[in-house]
Amino acid sequence: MDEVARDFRAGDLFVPEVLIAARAMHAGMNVLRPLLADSDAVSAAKCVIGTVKGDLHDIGKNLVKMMLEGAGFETIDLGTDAGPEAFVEAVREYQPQLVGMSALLTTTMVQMKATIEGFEEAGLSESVKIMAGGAPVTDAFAREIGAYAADAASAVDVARGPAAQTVLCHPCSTATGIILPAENRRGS
Amino acid sequence: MIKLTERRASIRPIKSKLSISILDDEEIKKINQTALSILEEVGIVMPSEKALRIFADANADVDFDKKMVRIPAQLVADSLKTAPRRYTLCGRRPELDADIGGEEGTYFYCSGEAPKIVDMDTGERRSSIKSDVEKMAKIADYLPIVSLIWPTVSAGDKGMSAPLHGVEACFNNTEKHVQTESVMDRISAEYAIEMASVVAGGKDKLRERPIHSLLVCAIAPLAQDRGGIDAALAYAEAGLPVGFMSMPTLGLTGPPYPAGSLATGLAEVLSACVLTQIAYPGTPNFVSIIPSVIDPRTANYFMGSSFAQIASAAVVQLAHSNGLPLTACKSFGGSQYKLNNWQAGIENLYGHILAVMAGADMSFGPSGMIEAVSLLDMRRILFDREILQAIDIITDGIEVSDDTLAFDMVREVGPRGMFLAHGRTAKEARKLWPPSILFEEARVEGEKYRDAVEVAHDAIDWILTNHRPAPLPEDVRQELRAIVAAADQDEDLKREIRGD
Repeated sequence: MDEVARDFRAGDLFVPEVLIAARAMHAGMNVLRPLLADSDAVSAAKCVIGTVKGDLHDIGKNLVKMMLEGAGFETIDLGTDAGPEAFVEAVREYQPQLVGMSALLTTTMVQMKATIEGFEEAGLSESVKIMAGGAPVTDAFAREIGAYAADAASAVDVARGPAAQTVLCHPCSTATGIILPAENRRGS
Repeated sequence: MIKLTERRASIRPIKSKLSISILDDEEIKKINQTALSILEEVGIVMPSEKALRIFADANADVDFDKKMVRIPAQLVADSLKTAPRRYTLCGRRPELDADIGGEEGTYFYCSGEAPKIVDMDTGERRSSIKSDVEKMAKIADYLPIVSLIWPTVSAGDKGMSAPLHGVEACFNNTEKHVQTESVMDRISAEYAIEMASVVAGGKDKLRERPIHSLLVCAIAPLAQDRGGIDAALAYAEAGLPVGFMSMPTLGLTGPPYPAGSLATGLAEVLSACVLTQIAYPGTPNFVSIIPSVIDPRTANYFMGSSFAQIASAAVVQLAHSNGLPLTACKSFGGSQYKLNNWQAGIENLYGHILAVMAGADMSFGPSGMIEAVSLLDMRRILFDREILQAIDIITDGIEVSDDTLAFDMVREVGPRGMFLAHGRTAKEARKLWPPSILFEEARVEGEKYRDAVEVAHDAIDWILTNHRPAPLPEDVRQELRAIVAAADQDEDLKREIRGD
């Protein structure tokens, strides 16, 4: 998938091809994971992902989900219109390393902040990385809330790597991922 | 952005599933009849002694003093019968042959021939030189949308034999068919034919596979150019295709009506086709009529007018009704526009789409011309390519089949499913999103937005640096050099061009 991501960034591959590769990788991982578990390999990282409250748009979220699965993440999909409480509950239950939030509308974008506040109130904000994205999310917005932005292809890099990766935000992308490193999060 | 990779030259005509007719049968008949009446009653100035004798021998009404010929309608009809409707403009390899009058669609020229160029390094306009011809031929060799190549600019540093240097520059930098419209005298024609013979491997092989041809422009209204006609006869004698062009300007060199100017234009090109058919029956002819208007405020030439465009599309029907292939001329830089403005876009889009839908055999297209065909901007050829790519898609219509209706796919994906990740989408995405200079995205942080002109500039630089047209054998190159060197020293050629 690293090679796929490289070719995608170079413009040699299109999104559908990347998704097919991600799907193949995911299927392969499903076969390999039990074997890897037997051999004491590190278990897969988990990601809770969903479209925030009030927002029913999930194409971007689904793309990022497929990309993450292709990269070996186990995903817990909260679907659309997921409020802060649903995210908090899922993090408590599944104890993921990563949370992904998506919003298409400027009016629902503010729910990302509300969701983060929900994690803070529940005392969970230090235990997960938070990734947020969507078409209205700009680089400026990302910086304002102390975040780093990524497009669909680099979401995986950002999710896997150290939080403080510097990548470009695509305002027009349907799937913008933003990592919120714990140390940069508001209030921390 | 256009994904630039090394490749061998190829050609790609555009075949349209959509068609238009500008004229109905009765209108075609009337324009043809008027053209025939002009030829028979008004006559054409034909200032070539040889041409006048050919007409006299064929019982046309020739006035040697006035260098004028009146051609009976029957002679026109009889002569045109021997003109082939279908023939091949050959490239150096059969894969590069243009099947004129066949089923492949419209073949596009990289044409010219401008005296000035925008210098790619400095951005300044300057007189063009031979190395510019070489560069443009190389670019045209690289782009599949170009099937036929002219020297796009003049080899302005080569004096009176510049047209021959232009032909040499093309032969050395493209495997595609090379045509010229600046070889306009008998002696230059002989040199050019000799060069083509050397490239083809002999005169017989050249006749068998004509890799070179000529287009001669008439002098509207109703006159031929002496040197051009002599050159045409020399090419026809060598078995090479010869086309004739007329450029009537409504209200200046033709009547102020599209119909009337089409009739005078048609008379001009038919007179020359008849000449070559009488002299060398079976000569592959093609015609081109390029109506334009004048800017009445200045009397400047203006090719991009909608009146001219619609008339120009009608020419396709007129040529075909006479059994002749047609080269459409649709603006291709014929207006006073700059490189990257909406006027250039609108004129070239509707001009070229009319040509393709009208069924033109050939069309002047991706040429890089701006400012009334007087200035070459190499980047422009990539804008033309964009337009032709759009036309290719539009005129291909919509394929309706079980495959494309994709009911099985719809059933598989289902409500709220995702077509994006489907294997068939991945396959089709490359067709749905063809390479372009228009939609470049910034890919790394801090990368600035680039205008399409900048993207085109980079792409042209890439082609010039990386594309290597298949070279001619060294001995052939040497022979070509020797031929143009001889032409450079030929005092008779200079006298012939000057008309001494």
